Amino acid sequence: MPGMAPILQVENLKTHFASREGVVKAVDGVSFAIGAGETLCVVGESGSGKSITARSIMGILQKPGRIAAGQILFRKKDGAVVDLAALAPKGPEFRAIRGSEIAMVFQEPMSALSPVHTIGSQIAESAEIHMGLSRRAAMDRAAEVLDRVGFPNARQRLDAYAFQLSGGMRQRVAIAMALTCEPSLLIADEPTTALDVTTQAVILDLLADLSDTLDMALLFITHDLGVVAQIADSVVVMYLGEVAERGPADTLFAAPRHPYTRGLMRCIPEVGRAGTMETIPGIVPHPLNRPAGCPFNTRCPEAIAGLCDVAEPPLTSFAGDGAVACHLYGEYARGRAVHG
Amino acid sequence: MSAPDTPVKLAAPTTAPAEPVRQRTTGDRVATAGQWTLVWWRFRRHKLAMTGLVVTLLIYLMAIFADFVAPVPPHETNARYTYAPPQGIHLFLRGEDGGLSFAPHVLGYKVELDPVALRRTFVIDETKIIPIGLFVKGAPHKVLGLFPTDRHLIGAITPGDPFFLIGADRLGRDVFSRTVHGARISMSLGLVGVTLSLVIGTLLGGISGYLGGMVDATVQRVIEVIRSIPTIPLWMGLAASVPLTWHPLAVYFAITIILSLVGWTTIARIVRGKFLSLRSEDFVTAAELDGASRMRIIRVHMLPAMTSYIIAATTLAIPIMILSETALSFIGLGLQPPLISWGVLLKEAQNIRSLATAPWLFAPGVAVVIAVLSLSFLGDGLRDAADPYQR
Amino acid sequence: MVAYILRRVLIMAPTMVLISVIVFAVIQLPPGDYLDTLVAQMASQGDRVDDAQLAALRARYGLDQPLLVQYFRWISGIVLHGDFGQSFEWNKPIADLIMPRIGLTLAIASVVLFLTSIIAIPIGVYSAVRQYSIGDHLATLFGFIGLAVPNVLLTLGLLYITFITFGLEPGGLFSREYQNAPWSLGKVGDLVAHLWIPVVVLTLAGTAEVIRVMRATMLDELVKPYVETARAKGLSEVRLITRYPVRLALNPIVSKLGWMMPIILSSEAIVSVIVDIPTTGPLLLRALLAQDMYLAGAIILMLAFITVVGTLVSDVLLAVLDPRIRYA
Repeated sequence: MPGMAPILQVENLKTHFASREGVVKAVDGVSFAIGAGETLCVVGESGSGKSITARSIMGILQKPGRIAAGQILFRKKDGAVVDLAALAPKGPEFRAIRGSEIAMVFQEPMSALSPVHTIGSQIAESAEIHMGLSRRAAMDRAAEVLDRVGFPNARQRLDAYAFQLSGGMRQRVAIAMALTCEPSLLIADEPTTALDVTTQAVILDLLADLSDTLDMALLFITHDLGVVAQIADSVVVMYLGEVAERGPADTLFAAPRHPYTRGLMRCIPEVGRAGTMETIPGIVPHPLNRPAGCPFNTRCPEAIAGLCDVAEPPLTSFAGDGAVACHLYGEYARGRAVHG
Repeated sequence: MSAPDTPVKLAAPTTAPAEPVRQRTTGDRVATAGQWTLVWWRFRRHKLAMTGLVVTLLIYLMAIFADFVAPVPPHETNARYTYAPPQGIHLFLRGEDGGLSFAPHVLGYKVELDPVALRRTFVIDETKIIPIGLFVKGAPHKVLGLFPTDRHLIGAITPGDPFFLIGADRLGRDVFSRTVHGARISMSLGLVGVTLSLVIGTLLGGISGYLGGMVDATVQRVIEVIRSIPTIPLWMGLAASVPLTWHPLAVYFAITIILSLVGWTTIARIVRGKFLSLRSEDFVTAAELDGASRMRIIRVHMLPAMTSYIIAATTLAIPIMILSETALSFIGLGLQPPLISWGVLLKEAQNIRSLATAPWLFAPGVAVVIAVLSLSFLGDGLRDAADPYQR
Repeated sequence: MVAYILRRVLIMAPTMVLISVIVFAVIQLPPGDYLDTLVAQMASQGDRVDDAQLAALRARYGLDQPLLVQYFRWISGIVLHGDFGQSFEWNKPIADLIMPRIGLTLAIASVVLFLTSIIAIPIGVYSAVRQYSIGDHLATLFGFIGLAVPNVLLTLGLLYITFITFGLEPGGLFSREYQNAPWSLGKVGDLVAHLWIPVVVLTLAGTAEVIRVMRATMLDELVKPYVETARAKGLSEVRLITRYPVRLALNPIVSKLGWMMPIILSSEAIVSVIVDIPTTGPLLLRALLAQDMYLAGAIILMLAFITVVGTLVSDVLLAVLDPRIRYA
């Protein structure tokens, strides 16, 4: 959102995984920013690097992943701006931010909670380590946040175990765990994917409501454009570790620019629309086998031979409302406009 | 999808139907390779397992051709060489003129009386040169029990000369020859015992896993009971009832059966577990929907899919058999002389004083370690390779 | 929880019954019965038993009855009166013979179990957390050695070394000077000197196995999503690993330790025969060689009973550790 000082600014982030077969560039030069209280959705198919982006910001990359380049500028509550990419992920400085100022909710509410610890102790843990609360006070805090996320009889159920709860309730626990220290940025990695449809809607509403009332920025990772339409202020569309297109949600939905974005939009099933559902042809290429030129050129219906499979399109910005990495909007398009 | 008639080829759940293979890329190659090819590819990458395979094969070869590999017959005693120490092999001989010539030999012994301990001790006699060679003439034997010959892989060129590569035992028998012969019984007992365990284990484990319900509960309870009795005491109890008067071969089989009576439980558990997980696999459901009979499903679809696991478990069970036989024979409840197994040989080392005089009596134990290690590496490699799709 | 324990105890009963049947079968296996052996024994000593006496004994042990009756006499004596019968070789009640030895066996097994846990669990955790490090490779190598070196050989090796270096010979619990001495530091030291070999041998074998299991379980647990969740809370690595994956990996280890009891008791039988300490192993061997079958049977039965109780303890411990079992 223009004019708002961003709480998080990702600049040219590159996250690589060195393997025996070669270096997988899971995230390859991604940039975006989130303002305070804003909801940003990162959309992409599996393998697009959206989850890796989230984990890079959180500093919880699994081996052998590492941030190869770029900046992750985060504005702390005290106003200081730190580059998370430059901090040691396991060091004390990062740990003080992680779980306290930035928190995360994961996809699988079943396995994301420890099966042998009570939900109360799992929630209270953040309060103990970040807020310096006693065990007792931390448990009070746990009951408070559980209550806040609409968990019925929160105080009485602090002793419950994850396996005794339904999927939706587990996800509420996971959200409560993330909210314990009132983070200014909440990263949610497909938090509704594993839930049934009605529960999905409830959890989405809850997240949107929390973001509003707590003035908490929300970085929402999803592959579901329907979800994006419901909650996003702005959107980043990722493909093969790169940003294909980004911009405010309303303009992006009204006039998608990138052929990939347009393809994704056509894939949304709509009630009452006749005909077969469209799909984007082909599959996401293997990250070790990235096509030359535009990463999407192998599946793009509008690919221009000799251009898209040769040169990688730069990110072209549009005044005030987003950017797209596509030759149809870059130098080539302008050249064509002049000549044609 | 109907079942093809070559069960082994189409064993794994996701194997693509065999189609004529054209120009292959790596991906295609993997996708169309048969299960066994994939297992082999994975196995080959496992260096330790490959080493294990080679050493295991060498040991079995040694067991088969024991008469040929051993310089002298295992029961040949020689009172003059009681506890004779190992002789080092020298490759070169210094001639009269001081030059070195290639002439492999060992040095003879002379016996001295230790004036303090009043014991006979062997001293290497530099002047007694005993030439040795490969493929030398020696005691006659039959290769594979069929082809008579008197050639031995290695030995003294003049038959009858003392040649104790790793020393002699209490009766002046060659420990090396005896250890080589011990491989026959120890290694074959492992194989036979495991085969028995495999038959019982696969049968009961399969029935238990496939039928479920009461049958499963009963079999599981029996396994639990058997596993609750500490094995060696149980084996001791069973082995003690084998009459001493029996023919050695009968004792051999009795001991093998006793070892398998416990060994089958491990294999049964693995087979049952695989059966349970396979039962819910899509390709089994598909075959059921196709109307294939139960036996056919088990035979054509399920057994082949777990063959590799069973082979791995079996390989890992052989060393346990070998170790158990060693332990039982060692305490005198397993095989008895004149049978030669590594356990029986190790019994010679039971007395700490004789062991102190002749530490080379450990040799059969070292053979056990080598055999068990290589079989374990082999089994581990097979287990890892057994699931070619879990990359 | 109480219901769970009760259920486990109830399952234990049929297991013990089946075990006692197997043991009874072992007792009956050798040709001839108890009295034949006795007569042969007496005859070898030049004694003669007259037929009336023989008949009386036969009636007392119920040897003229069908096997089923014999079994019930035998097992009810044990269960109701703790009467395992009489050892003809020692001419003593079996219970008096085996109880002190079972105590020592149990003591050794407990020490081994304890040492195994405190050595193997940390090494297994380290091995998994620092996978493919030098330490991990060393632990794996150690595991293979522990697996492949037979207890017999290891025991002999240690005996050989102590004999060569200290001139110590195996046998007994105490040296002659401490045999009847009151307890003192010296006597404890002497006891340790006599018991360290079996303890070391059994611990090494168990440790190798538990390291393997702990490492494998930890590797599974470390990549589970709940670890990521905990990491996202900003926990320090040490707290994170000990509080979450280690805590979960303990569950399979606890049941593994339960199953290690029979393995330890089993190996102990052999090792104690070699080092000749007064545990159940040498007594069992001697009983078997003398065909003193009721004594042998009693020992096997008691060892199996210890195992079953050990498994029960580990099951209960598992329920304490894992709410999924507790509330199931």
